Amino acid sequence: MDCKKAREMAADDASGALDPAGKAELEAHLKGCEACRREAELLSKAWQALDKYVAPELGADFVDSLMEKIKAGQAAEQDEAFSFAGWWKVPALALASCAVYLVCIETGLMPSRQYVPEAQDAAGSISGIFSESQEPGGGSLLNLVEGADQ
Amino acid sequence: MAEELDTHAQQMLRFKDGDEASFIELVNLYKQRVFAFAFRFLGNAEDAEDAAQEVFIKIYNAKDKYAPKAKFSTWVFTIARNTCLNMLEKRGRKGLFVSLDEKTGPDEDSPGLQVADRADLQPPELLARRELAAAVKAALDSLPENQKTAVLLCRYEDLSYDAIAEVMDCSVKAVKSLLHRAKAGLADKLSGLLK
Repeated sequence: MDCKKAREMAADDASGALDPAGKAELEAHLKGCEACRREAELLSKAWQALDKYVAPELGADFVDSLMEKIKAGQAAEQDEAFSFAGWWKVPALALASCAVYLVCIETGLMPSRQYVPEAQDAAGSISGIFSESQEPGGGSLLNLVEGADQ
Repeated sequence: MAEELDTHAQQMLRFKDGDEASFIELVNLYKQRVFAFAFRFLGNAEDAEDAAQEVFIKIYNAKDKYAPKAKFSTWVFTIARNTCLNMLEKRGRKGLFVSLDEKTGPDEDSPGLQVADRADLQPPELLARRELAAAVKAALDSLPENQKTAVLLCRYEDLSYDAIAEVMDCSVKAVKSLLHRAKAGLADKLSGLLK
């Protein structure tokens, strides 16, 4: 075994990851190689020294604080859902739909029905039919009013 | 997947079915480990506690999508590692070196960098241990992130090479290489104190 291989195996051995066969092979090399033996010792000590770096204990209120955060997050999500959709959504959508409809009629994008009086009886009642307006802008509400007057 | 689900994965599935007590139990089982990992990764207790909370909040919110494909601990440390990496990016890298006198515990009265000391040690030995603890921290912090992660998962969490490879999304061969280089780096940094 060469020294490069020995040092790799020594690194594995330092963390206990070397199998028994590899360990035996490594030990045989280390017996005859001072430099590798010193390296292996240093690797092992450095790995063991990591024990000295101790993490502190978590505070006792960690779980309570965590659950509070989770519940607060859930409440915030619900509030957000209500504030956006809420009870403003339906009337807002209805108004928007009406506005779009009127714009379409005014601009002729959508054909409108014009009231065409056919007859007026003696009592002054007007009966008529609604027909599709062929004229641009003929869908105005004014036309309905004018038609009724005719 | 042929292997039986580990008990913690089963607890997570019970939580998925609505048993919130199972979640609390999992938190109690993993909180110190996740916190310790984050503490050694990020270097201070305040950030580590925030990171640990974020990890468990992510676990809580992921319950509906949870499907055990790996050991539960592997999944937890994958989330922990990603959370710590994101935190490092968001907050910028803080100073890698913390003085022994700086409060690094979660409470104001916590001592500085903790050492594994014994009551019967004489002050010079205690000083030597504190010096070594600080040197170990500095040596770890000087490693590239992927080497440091591999060391934290191998040395402190005792994860197998396969599990570490899964957490770090790399091959087992890459994990071994990272650990070899990390160990050589640590030995080099600590050689002055360990001779």
